[in-house]
Amino acid sequence: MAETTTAPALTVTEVTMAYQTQRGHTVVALDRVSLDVRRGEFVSLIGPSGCGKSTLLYILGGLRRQTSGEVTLDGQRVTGPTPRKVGFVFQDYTLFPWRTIISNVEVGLEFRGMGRRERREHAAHNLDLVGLGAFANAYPGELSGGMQQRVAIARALSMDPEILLMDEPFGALDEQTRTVLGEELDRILEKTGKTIVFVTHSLSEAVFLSDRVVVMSARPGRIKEILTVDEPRPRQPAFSTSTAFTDLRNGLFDLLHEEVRAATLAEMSGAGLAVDGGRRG
Amino acid sequence: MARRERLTAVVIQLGLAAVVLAIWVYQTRAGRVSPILLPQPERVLQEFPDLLRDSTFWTSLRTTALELVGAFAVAAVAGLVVGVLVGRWVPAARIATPLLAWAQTVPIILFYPICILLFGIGPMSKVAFGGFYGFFPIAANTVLALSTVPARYLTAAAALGASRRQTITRVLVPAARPLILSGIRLGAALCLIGVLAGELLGSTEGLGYQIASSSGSFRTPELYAYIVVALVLVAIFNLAITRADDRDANARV
Repeated sequence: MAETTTAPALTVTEVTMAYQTQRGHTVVALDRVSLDVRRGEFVSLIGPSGCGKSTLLYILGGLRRQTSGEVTLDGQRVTGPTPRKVGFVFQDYTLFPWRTIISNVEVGLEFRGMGRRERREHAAHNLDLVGLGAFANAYPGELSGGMQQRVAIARALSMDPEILLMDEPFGALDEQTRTVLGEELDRILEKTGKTIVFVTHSLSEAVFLSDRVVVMSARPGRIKEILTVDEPRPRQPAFSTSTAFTDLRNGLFDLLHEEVRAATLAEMSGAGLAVDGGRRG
Repeated sequence: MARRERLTAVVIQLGLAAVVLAIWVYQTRAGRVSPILLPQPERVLQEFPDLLRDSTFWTSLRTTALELVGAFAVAAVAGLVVGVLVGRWVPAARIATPLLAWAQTVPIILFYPICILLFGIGPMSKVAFGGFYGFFPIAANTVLALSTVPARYLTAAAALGASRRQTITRVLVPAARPLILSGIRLGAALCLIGVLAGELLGSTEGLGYQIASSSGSFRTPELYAYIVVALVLVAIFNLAITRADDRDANARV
């Protein structure tokens, strides 16, 4: 994270995602989005619900196919999942409940065909990294939501990817847990030096963790603005009470507020028309 | 569950059984009930030495046990094959699910005479009928289990680089397993009902036949003894199936 070379780790060029609804309408979720992510950089995607930020993340990871445009990873076009290069941490709890914690962490290496002893070593190391070494033989159901997401991070890290894509990983957690996990994530990333793309709803989380915050507009999703956070790493808890932090957060709030307002008004006017139509009919 | 509570439950259960036995002893001792309808418990007990020496008994037991195993094999294999084929194909699951649910409310015993016509009066008709009876819950649960595996597990597997085969064997099957196993348990119980009912209604051998024939000739103590044997067989069979199920349940929380 400390050094960033000039060659981007990830290049997004004019990516558009459109799909048909069941009623036959075409919805444009992403409209010609272009973005470079440098090696070792932490980039957050933030925007109103439905702006396509998660969709963009899935496209980056090759889990969903864009309608047009291109994503390249180390100069290679992304056409499907590349588990050796890209790790995913999902919003929902996606640990397999029938496997112990350690065997959840090693499952990707198992898919890769790594030998039992070697993958267990890797998994144990990464489980220690997220501070859950003591829970190796527990089952996911015995862990809290925050702990499960830490296991999911260990699972992604154990694949040793260059890039981690995180889709609101702490979205389902309470504010305090979220803050602590954010600080912990920063510490872990400091050690591993991964490139991160992080989708979030939380302004504070975005400012606290990111090198750059990408603000997206309401549907169709476009990049509205990119904010840079110049703050040395690892980020200290004191940063979140500094003036610099508050200014950035407020700036982000203003940018986002317009978009959320626009998105909400669009939804409401749609609903209002339907009600009016019903009355007249 | 706490050890203590479990112990209390067992004590109460044994107590209830003792009450039933006490009523049985009291009613028969006082001669209130004709011994042809309800023999004294010790008369039933006295049947066992004879029964255990009787080769007819052992042939009957063997026949019923084999029919049971056969019926269960038919139900499990057919149920799983149909369940997997249908469950992995969304349109088929949509069509089949209500049909399978509906089939479970039909009194399948109505089809037993057809089974006899098709497979004869011997063990084959019991295997077929028991298997047919047990097939529906196994197929229905397998369809349900496979069609409701959360998509997020499959997405996670794809992101972690699972091949198609790994996705099936390491994600789909274990995710669907608990529901499939409960279907198998239900199906096994129905196989049992199917086989015994089949023997009672029309057969020339087996425990059910012995029960029907001792009832028909008023050999009541023997009738009760055979019922006890059938219940023991049921208990052993259910225990075997439940054991397999529990072992799986212990592996998860």
